[in-house]
Amino acid sequence: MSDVEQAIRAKQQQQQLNCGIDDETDPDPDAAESGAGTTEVGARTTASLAAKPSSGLRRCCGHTLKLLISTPGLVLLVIGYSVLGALIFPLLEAPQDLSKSAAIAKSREDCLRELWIITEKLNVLYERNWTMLVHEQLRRFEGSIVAATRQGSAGGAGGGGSVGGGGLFQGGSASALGHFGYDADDSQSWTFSEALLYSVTVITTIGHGSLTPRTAAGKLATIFYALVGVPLMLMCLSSLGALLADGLQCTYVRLCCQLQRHQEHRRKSTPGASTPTASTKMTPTPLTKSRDKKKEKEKGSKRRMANCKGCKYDAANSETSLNDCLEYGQKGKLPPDKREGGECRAIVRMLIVFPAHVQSHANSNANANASPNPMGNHTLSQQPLVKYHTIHMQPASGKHRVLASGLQDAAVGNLVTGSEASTLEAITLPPPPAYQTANVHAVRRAKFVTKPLPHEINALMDCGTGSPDLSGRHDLLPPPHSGAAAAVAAATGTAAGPMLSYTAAATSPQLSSGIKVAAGTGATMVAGRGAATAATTALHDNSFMAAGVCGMAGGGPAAPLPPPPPVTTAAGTATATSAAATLSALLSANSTGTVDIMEDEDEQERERLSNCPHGTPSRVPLIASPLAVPQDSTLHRHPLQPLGRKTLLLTRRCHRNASGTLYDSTTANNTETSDDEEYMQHGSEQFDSAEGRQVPISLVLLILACYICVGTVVFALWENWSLVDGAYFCFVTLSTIGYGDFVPARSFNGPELQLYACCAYLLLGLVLVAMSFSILETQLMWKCKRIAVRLKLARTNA
Amino acid sequence: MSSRRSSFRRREKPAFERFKDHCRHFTAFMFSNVGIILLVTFYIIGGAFIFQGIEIFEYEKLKSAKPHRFIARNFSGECLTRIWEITAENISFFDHHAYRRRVNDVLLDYQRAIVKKQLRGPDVEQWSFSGAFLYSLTVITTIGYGNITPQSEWGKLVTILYAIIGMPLFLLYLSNIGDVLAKSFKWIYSKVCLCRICPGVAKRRIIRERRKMRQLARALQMHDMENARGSSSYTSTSSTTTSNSSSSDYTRSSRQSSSLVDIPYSDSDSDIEREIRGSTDEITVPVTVCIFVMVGYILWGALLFGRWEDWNYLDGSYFCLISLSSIGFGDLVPGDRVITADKDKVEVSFILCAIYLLLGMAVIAMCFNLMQEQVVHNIRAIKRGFKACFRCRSS
Repeated sequence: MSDVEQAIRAKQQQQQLNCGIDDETDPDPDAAESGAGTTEVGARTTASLAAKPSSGLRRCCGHTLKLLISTPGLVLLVIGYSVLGALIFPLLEAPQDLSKSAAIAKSREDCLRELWIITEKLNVLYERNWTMLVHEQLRRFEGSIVAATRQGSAGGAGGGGSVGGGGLFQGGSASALGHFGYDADDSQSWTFSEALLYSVTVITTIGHGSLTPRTAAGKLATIFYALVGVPLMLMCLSSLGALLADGLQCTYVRLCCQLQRHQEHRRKSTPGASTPTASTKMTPTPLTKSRDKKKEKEKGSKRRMANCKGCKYDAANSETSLNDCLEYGQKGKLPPDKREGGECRAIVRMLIVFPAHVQSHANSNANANASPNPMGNHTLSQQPLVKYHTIHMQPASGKHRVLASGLQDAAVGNLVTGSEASTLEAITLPPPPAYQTANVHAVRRAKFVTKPLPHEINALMDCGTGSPDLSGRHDLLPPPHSGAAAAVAAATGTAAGPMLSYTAAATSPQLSSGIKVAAGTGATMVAGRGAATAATTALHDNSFMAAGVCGMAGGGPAAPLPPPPPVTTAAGTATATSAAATLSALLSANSTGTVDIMEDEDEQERERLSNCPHGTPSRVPLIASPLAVPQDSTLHRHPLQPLGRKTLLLTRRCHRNASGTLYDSTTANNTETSDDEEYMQHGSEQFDSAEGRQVPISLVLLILACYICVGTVVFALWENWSLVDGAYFCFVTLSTIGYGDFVPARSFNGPELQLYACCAYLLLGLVLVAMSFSILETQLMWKCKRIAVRLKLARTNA
Repeated sequence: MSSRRSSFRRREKPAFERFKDHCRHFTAFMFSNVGIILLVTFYIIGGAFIFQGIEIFEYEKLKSAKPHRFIARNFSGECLTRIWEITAENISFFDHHAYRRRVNDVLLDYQRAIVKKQLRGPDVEQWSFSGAFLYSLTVITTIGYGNITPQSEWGKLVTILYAIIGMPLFLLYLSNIGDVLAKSFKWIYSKVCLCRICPGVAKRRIIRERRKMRQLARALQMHDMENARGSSSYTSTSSTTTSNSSSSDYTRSSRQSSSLVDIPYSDSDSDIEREIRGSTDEITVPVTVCIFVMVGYILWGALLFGRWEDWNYLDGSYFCLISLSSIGFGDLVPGDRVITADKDKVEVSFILCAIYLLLGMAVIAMCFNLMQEQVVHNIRAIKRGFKACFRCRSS
C-alpha cells in the first residue's frame, strides 16, 4: 500500500494529464465534490480553504489522491503504468538485443557468403563434395547461434555453466532461444507491443517468461516496476472486480425481478390471487404510474451506473448538488424506491406464498419485546416501531418523527398512494446534516478509543443473554458469517448469524451485514432501518408492516426468531426478514452514504482505497502480494478456536472484540464505509437467496468457463493449437501461473494486433476472475463453514 | 436379549463415534497450522509423483505408438538437401542476389528449427522427481517458471485440476502461516524493539505516550463540545421537535469524549504494568520494519542462491523477487546448474529452494498483513487529523 501511495505521489506529474481529463469526465467524485460546494459542508471547505492554505493544499492532495484511487483513476493509472513500462523496457533492453540479433544476423551472413564462395569455387558441382563443405559451414553456423543465444541468456549469470548438455539447458536459455529464434531477423526485438505484453505480465504476476530482461538495468527496472505495479494492479483488479460483481448482482436481481413481475402479471390476470396485499400492490395508482414514468426517464442516467454503488453516488450527487428538496427526493431517493418497488413486489409475492408467517411475526415480535428493547406493543401496529427507533435513535429522531408522522398518515389513510406520497415527503425532507455528522463523529471517535462500541456490544450481549436458546446454539456455529467483516462485525454478527443460519440459510450474512452497519455507523443505521421499515409500512399496509416488524425483529435483536418451527413458516419468516432487511439495507445505505459524503468525501474515498484489496478479494491476483491474508486470517482464526465451551463463547467473543485490538477497531471502521456496497450486495444476495435466486455459483462459473472457452477457441484458431492446448493456455494465464510454454507472442508472426488482443484478454479475464471471486467468496466461505459446523456439531453431540 | 443388544449397541456406538471423532480430529489437525504445512507438502509430493508418472507414461505410450515423432530430425541434413536443391536449380543461371535470398530463407528456417529443438529440450529427462516437485510447487504457488511443462494432453488436464484444488489450499496455507508469523513477529517486535522486556524503558515510553494522548483527547473534547453545541443550535433552528434529542446527543457525545479522556487519566502503575503485560495485538509494527524484513529476506535469498547457483547478487535478488511475487519468468530457475550435475545435489537444492519459496511467500504475506494494518492505522490517524482541523475551522 505504501508502495502504491509512493508511486501515486511520484507519478502525479505524469498522470496529471489523465487526471485533468478525469476531472472533467469522471462524474462520480467530482460531481459530489462540486455539489458539496453548495451545501454547508462546501461552505465549510471554502472557509477552511480561505482560512488555512496548508490544509487547502492537503485537501488538494487528498482530492487528487482520491481521484487516483477511484476506479476509473485506477484503471487509467494501470494503463498508463503499463504503457510507461512498455516505453521504458525497450530502451533498457533494446541495445543488447540489437547487438545479439545483429551478431546472429552477421553469422548468418557469414554462412551465406561461405556457401556462395563454396558454390562458386567448385567448378564442377559434385554433390558429395559440395555437401561436405556446406555441412561444415552449417555446423559452424549452428554453433554460433547456440553460442550467441546462450551467451545472451546467461550473460548476467556470468558465463553460465553447462556447455555440454545442450539438451538439458533449459529455463533461461529456453526463453532466450525462443526469442532469438523468432526475432533474430528483426533489428529490434523488443517492439512496443511485446514490451506492453511484458509489462502486463509483470504487473499481473503472470510472467510468461517469453520475454525476459537480460541486462542488469532491465532486471533492476523490472524489480522496481513489479514492486510498484503489482499492488497497483491488485487494487485496480479488486475495485474493478467489486464493481463488476455489484453490477452482475444487480443485473441478476433486476432480471429476476422482471421475470417475477412477469409472472405476477400473469397471475394477476388469473382471478384468485387477490389477497389484500396483492391488490394493494397491484392497483396501479396514478402516482405509481407517474413514478414509473419518472423511473423510465431516469433510466438513462441510471443505466450508467448499473451497479448498486452507483445509486449511492447518484444520491450523493443529487443530494449535494441540489438543495432542492424535490430534486433530492426524485433523484436521490427514487433509485432505492424503485428497487424497493421491485422488491416489494417480490415481498408481496412472498406474502402470498407464505401467508402463514404472520403468526411467526407475532412470535418474533413478542420475542423482540422480550429482548432489551422495551417495546410496549406486541401487536403489529406502528407504535413499537416508532418507539424502538426513538429509543435507539435519539440523535436522528427528528427525521424519525417526520417519518413517524408519515407512518401514522399511512396508518390512518391506509392507502398506498397517500402513504407513498407521505413517505416521499418524509424522505425528501433534507435530513439535518449537523445531527448526523455530529452523530457519526461521535461514533467514529468512540471507535478510535481503545474501547470500541461498548454500548452496542452490550446490547448484543443482552440480546444473546436474552434468549438462551440463541446463546446455546450460537457457539455450535462457526463464527458468524461475516465474510470479510471486521471483528466488530463478527461480534455483532454472532448474535445475528447463528440463529438465522439455522432457520434459513442465507439470511445470516444479510443480517450480519445489517448489523455490521449497526456496529459501523451506530445510530445512523438504526435511522436507516427505521426509515426502511417506515417506508415499507407506509408503502404497503399492515401486512407489510408485519414484514417490517419481522425484519426488525430479525435484524435488530436477532434473538427472537423461534428455532425451526414448521419449515414453511420458517422459510416465510426468513424470506420476510431478509426482504425487509434488504429494504432497510438499501435505505440505510442511502442514509449512511449521504452522511458520509456530506461529511468528507475524500476521506471516505481514501478509506475505500484502503479497503480495496481488503474488501473485495480477488483471490488469484491476490496471491502475489497476499493482501487477502487479513480476511483469511479473520476467517480462519475463528474456526480454529477452541470449540468445546459453549456458553462462554459469545461472551468471550464479544469481550475479545470489545477489548479488541486497535486493528480490529480500525478494520471495523474500515469496513464501515464499504459497508454500503458490501451489505447492499449482501442484501441483494441474501434477498435473492431467500427466494433461491442468488447469483448462483454455477452462473459465475459458467461465465468464467465461457470466457475461457472463447479464449480457447480464439487462440486455438490463431495459433493452430489444439483445443486442449488452448484451454491449458487460458487457464494457466488466467490463474496467473503463466508457464510460458504456450505464448501467443512467440508464434505470432502476423500483425501486432494480436499481441494487443492478448493483453486485453489478459486484463479483462483477470477482472472477470476477480469479479467471480468477489461474488463467490461469501457463498463459498459460508458453505465451507457450514460443512465445518456440521462436523463440529456432530462432535459436540457425540 | 434386548439388554444384550443394547449393551452391544452401547459398545458399538462409542467405537463408531470414536472413529468419527478421530476423523474429525484429523481434519481439524490438518487444517491447523502444523497440519496445513504437512498438507501442502504432501500435496506437492503427491503432485510430483502424479505428474512424473503421467508424463513418463504418456511419453512411453506415445513413443511406442508413434516412434517417428521422437527420432530427432536431422535438421542440418534437411537444410543441406534444400540448399543443394536450390543450388542445383540455380546452376543454370547464377543470379547472385536471388540465390542469396533463397538460401537465406532456408538458413532462417534452419535457425528456427535449431532454436526450437533447444527450446523443447528433452521431454522426459526433465521429469525427474525433483523436477516434478518443482513443477507442482510452481503450479500451486502460481509461480509457473515454465522450465518444466507438461507435454501430454493428460498432463495438461491434470495440471488444471491440480491447480484448481491446490491454489486454494496454498492460499489457506498462506493465510494461516502468515497469520501465525505476523503474530509472532509482533510479539518479538514488542519484546525487543519496544523494550517491553525491561520495564523501566517501557514505563517511561508509555507515560510519554499517554501524556500525548491526553492532550489530544482534550483537544478532541473541546472540538466535540463545540461541535455538539453548534449542531444542537442548528437543528433547533431547523426543526422544533428535536430539541431534547439534540441535547441527548450532546450528552452522549460528551459522555463518549469524557470516556475517551478517562482512559488515559488513569495513570497508575498497575495500569501501566497491565499495559506492558497486555496483549501484543494492539501494537502496530511500522511499515519500515516490514519493508526491512522483506528486503532482508530477499537479500538473504540472493546470498543463498548466489552460493547454490553461482548467480551474482543482482540475479539472485531478481530471482527471489520474481519468484516471491509469483511472477516467475523462468529465465532463472533454481537447480538449473545442479540438474546437470549428480543427482544428490539436485534433491538438496530443490528441497532448499522449495522451503525458501514456501517460507518466503508466508513471510511476504506476513509483511503485507502487518503493512496493511499499519497503513490502515495511519490513514485513520490522517483522517482524524483532517477531521479535527475541519471541525475546528467550521466551528
